[in-house]
Amino acid sequence: MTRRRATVAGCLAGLLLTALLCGILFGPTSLGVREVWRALLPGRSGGTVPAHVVSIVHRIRLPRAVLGALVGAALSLSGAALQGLFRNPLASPYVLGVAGGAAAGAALAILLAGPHTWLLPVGAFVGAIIAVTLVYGLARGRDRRTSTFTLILAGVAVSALFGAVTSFAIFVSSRGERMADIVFWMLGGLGRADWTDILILCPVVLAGLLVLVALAPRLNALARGEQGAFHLGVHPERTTRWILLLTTLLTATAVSMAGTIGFVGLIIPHLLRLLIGSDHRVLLPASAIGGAAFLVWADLAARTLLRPVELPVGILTAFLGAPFFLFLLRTQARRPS
Amino acid sequence: MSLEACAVTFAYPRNEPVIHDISLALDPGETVVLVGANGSGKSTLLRVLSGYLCPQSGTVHLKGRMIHRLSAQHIARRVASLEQQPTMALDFTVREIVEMGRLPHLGPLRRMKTADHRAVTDALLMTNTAELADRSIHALSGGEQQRAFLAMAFAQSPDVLLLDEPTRHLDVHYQIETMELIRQRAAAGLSVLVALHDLNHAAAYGDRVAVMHHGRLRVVGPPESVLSESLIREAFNLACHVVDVPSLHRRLIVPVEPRNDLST
Repeated sequence: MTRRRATVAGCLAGLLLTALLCGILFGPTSLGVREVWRALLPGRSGGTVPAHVVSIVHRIRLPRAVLGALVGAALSLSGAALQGLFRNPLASPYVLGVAGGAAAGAALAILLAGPHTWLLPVGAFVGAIIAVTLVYGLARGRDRRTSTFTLILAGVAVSALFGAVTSFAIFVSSRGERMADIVFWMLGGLGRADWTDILILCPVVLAGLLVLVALAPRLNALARGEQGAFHLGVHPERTTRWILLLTTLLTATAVSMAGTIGFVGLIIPHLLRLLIGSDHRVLLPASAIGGAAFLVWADLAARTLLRPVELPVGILTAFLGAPFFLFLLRTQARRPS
Repeated sequence: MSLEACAVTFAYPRNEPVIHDISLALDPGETVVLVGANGSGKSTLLRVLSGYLCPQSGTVHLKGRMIHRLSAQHIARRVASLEQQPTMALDFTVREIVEMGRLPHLGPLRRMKTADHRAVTDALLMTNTAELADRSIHALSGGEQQRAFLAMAFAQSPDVLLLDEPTRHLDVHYQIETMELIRQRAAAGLSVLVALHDLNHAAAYGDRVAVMHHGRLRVVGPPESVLSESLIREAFNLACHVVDVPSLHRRLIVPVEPRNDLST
């Protein structure tokens, strides 16, 4: 197991680095490795780099790749933690309606104040908190357990509710120029990446990762159920609240910057769980790196597959993710829980 | 006194009390077996004693301190408790599960130290699960899973061990193995309270036997004085013969088919 984990960690790190590199190299204008290298490290190399290359690397491709990595890490990390918390491999920020809540909050914020204001992340966070509270409250039975089906049904219902809020925001804005802004959030894309976003998201992801890894042993104990976790010295409700708060914060921040990009938080943690087991001390950091690599690759595919048209990456992840989710639902439903 | 319940009464919300006015004390090194019909309140009593449920009246003291005022972590350093049929909702290896037993002893950063690793290794060896350490819990048989959970409880290095039907669903061999393991830990100074259905195991392994009936503690005492034909008939609604086998130092309880007359 230890050996396999080391191999998986190595592969993930390699995938992320190559993804970041390819994300910078490929696009409408193909850049050479040497040019990019010089643009990234201007002081050390002798030759001069054309100004447009420096501009493409620093203002378009690098922020886009880095934002993709951070958003992927945030979503995948949230998914891994939520799966552990709900003791259910089908949980994810999208299935649980957290992302839908964040999108509705973001849509209302855009409608009221326009894009690029402080209201946007706040709206996303408030929407996400309301959604997660509703889903958790609905799915938690009297015996304090959350079954797969009530969880997914509650997620569907809450997602539909917040979907209606988002649609309402689009409908109301349909004569104004803000409709395009809202539609962008719904499709989910990294096309508007800038360094300000990264400066906000980077500390959120790092802090979220650190605190969640510190909570990982308690998350492991929760796999024994609330009573079993209590017998191991873990206060189940307190731990639950912390994890919900952190995953909501991560998801809402990611959604407020890149819109709704689905299924990253479902596929990556699930695959990694199959590969390296459920020990969250290892699974959480692995999910963060895996999610980062996945989203950068997915974004690269989304903007190069249908050249010159750039596909929003949310559409691509949904194409990949929805069949995967159905497959999971089938295999999970067969297993007696 | 390791753990002591004083006049404990507990009811689930909007329900009649499940256990009434129960007083019971565990001494270090002592094994007390809790018996009683289904629904007599054994599991609820164990949950109250473990600090998980807070009684409506009465108190539980752990080493002289009120258990319901202590934090979950503080309790778990001294009391290891396994609920009926412990399960893992997600896939973990046996070693990861046994390591969870060290959780209450870890510092704020929850890093395992040398002493923690040693306790894990000891628990794996004690329960004969060392060779299963890297296997997934879901790939094991019921008996192996039960041993892995016992290893987790032993890794907690508790003073008190509370077990709810640890032999349930085990074959005869594993039942004996589990009970012997528990006896060894009690000999090493642990206080054990274990709920069992098998009255012969109660007679063989209990220093004292506590009989629950309709949520009340009917009687507590050494097996040879408690496990009588009349008491078993009352508490379990079961006719039986009680036979002492001096050569085995055992008291055997042999159920009689309900329709047969005892006198024949």
